[in-house]
Amino acid sequence: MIFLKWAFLNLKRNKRLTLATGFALVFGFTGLLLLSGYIKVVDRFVSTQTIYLNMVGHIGILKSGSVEDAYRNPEKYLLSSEEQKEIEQVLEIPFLKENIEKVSKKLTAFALLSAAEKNLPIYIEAYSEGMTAYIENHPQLVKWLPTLLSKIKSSDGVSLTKELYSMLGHDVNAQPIDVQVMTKTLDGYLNGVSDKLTGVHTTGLAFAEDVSAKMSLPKLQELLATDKIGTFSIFLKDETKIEEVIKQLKLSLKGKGFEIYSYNSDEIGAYYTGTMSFINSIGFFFYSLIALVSIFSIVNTLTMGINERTKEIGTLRSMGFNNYQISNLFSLEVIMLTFFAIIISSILYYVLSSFINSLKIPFEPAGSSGYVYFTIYISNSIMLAHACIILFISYLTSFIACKKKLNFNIAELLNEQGVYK
Amino acid sequence: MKILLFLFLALQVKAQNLQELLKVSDRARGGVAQGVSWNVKIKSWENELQTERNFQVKAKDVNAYVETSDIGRFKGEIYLFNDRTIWFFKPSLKKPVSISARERLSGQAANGDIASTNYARDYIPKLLKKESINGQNTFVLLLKAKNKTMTYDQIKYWISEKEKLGIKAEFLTLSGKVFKTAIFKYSNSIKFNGKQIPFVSEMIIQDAIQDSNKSILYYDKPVVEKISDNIFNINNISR
Repeated sequence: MIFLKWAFLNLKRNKRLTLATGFALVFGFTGLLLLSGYIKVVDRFVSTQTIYLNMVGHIGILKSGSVEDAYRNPEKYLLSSEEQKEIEQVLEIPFLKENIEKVSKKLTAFALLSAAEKNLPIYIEAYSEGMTAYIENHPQLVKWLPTLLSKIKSSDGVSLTKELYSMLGHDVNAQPIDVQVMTKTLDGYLNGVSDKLTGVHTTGLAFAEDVSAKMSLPKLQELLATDKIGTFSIFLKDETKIEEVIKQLKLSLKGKGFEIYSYNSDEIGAYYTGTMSFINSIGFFFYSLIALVSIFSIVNTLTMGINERTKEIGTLRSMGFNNYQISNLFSLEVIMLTFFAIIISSILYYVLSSFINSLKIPFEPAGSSGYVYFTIYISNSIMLAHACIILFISYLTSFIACKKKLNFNIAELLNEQGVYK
Repeated sequence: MKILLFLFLALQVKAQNLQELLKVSDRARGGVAQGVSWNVKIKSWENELQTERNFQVKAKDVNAYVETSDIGRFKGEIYLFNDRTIWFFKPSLKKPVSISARERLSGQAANGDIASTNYARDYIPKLLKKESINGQNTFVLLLKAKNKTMTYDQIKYWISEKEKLGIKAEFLTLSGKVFKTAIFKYSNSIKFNGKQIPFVSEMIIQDAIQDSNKSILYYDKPVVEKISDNIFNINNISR
């Protein structure tokens, strides 16, 4: 306890150094928290977009080999009705049932859309009935991507993006019109179906907005003359259960020729993994930069402080304090200073993040087809994790800085004139 | 001056002869002004899939009406060739859909596109050389598309010297690489202007990039007949 008091008094006595190190710590720590909060928000944007807006789901079940070869040979790599039944039976297992919020079947195809005297190449995605309504009202989408919700209108017929409506020269709010969709069936014959153009949707991806179309699963199956599907998309109630659910699914479907992936895998969530690896690389660079500047500031001010207090170290040694106790005293000072800096930084983090979030600054992330609000994620766990890291770094840095001085003998220390030997 | 004029006239005559050669060869593949009808069976092998279709074709000048004679899910399928536009219709569609350039590069549409190509109308011929194929002397022509709407920019075409029939064609990409080849056989005949003339009986269309992709068109019962223009009117085709 007496060490704590001495540490506090020493900090108070060396105001100049305390303030210099304190400022470096506060700015560095606040910077790290804001950067982490931003990366976390981007992660939420992209994962929500992948899971809900693009309906990938948290988990996807596909036929083995379909990721590589389904486009070349869809007939072989799609899930037959027997395989679908097999998977549906497994999804009835109580553990899975209680963790799964929604299951959707998914089928995709390239096709030609003909309407209003125009032909457009499209990429159609078809899902089980009621999926658009499920997505449209999903709390995660409402929470993270509210600005994109205005671009969605449920549909029983064909749904297009606003860009495709504009390419067709048809108004989004006008009366539904007949559209013809044509493609080759899985067995190689040209086929076409008619439907009503009733819905609007967005992929959230700039590069996909001028080709993306959606239609009901039975209609696309009719167009492709098949009862097969491509993927089972599984939406969980609690995202933290992904690994457990995947483990159970792999166990139950072992040796049956299926592959199971989570949304953050390259196989079914390439957009998520691509975007996040880019963001994480940039984040890591800035994170390292801020962390290094903070560490060097601590080392620098501590070394200066210790050099200035060489005589004090000599006095403590002559009074009978051993190296370990003296080193601890200096470390305690740094930890105490770091602790104060963490408190101030955390307050700054909360205040700045809340202020930035309240401004609702619209911005369009690279590759996105719509704007979102610039937001900083406020999280106690981010703060606590960083606090632990910075406390450890501070302790380690101070320990290393002290160690060199403590190797001198008492006479040398007492003869020191104060600074910079 | 007289020599130049002579050369110019000689070249004009040569060009006219090549054009005439193309017209005659087109006639043996259905390019008959008053109308001709036939049945065709198409066997295709594409990306490990084998398909077989049967059609009844009614062609007149630059138009062709092709209706499936298959039953089941193909019943009522129609391909309408209006000059260079290909329309596709089946009962599940409310309106016919025009087939895009991309669709014309593979499958039935590609077969139809190649089979219906009117070389004399759409291409400018240039004599490359003479060559012997399976003992037949042929003229080898390089045909260049008259406009950019054509599916193939250039075609290398072998026409037999004696019978003036197209024996072989290579469909080239813009860079001059072979994209597809077609080989024609003429065991059928039709009565044209009071004379029996040969008519195509088999056409083998081979993909040059993927060897395993090919189609064989078997022509049967070709008859010259009067065909009404109404069947080529797209507005008459709807549900």
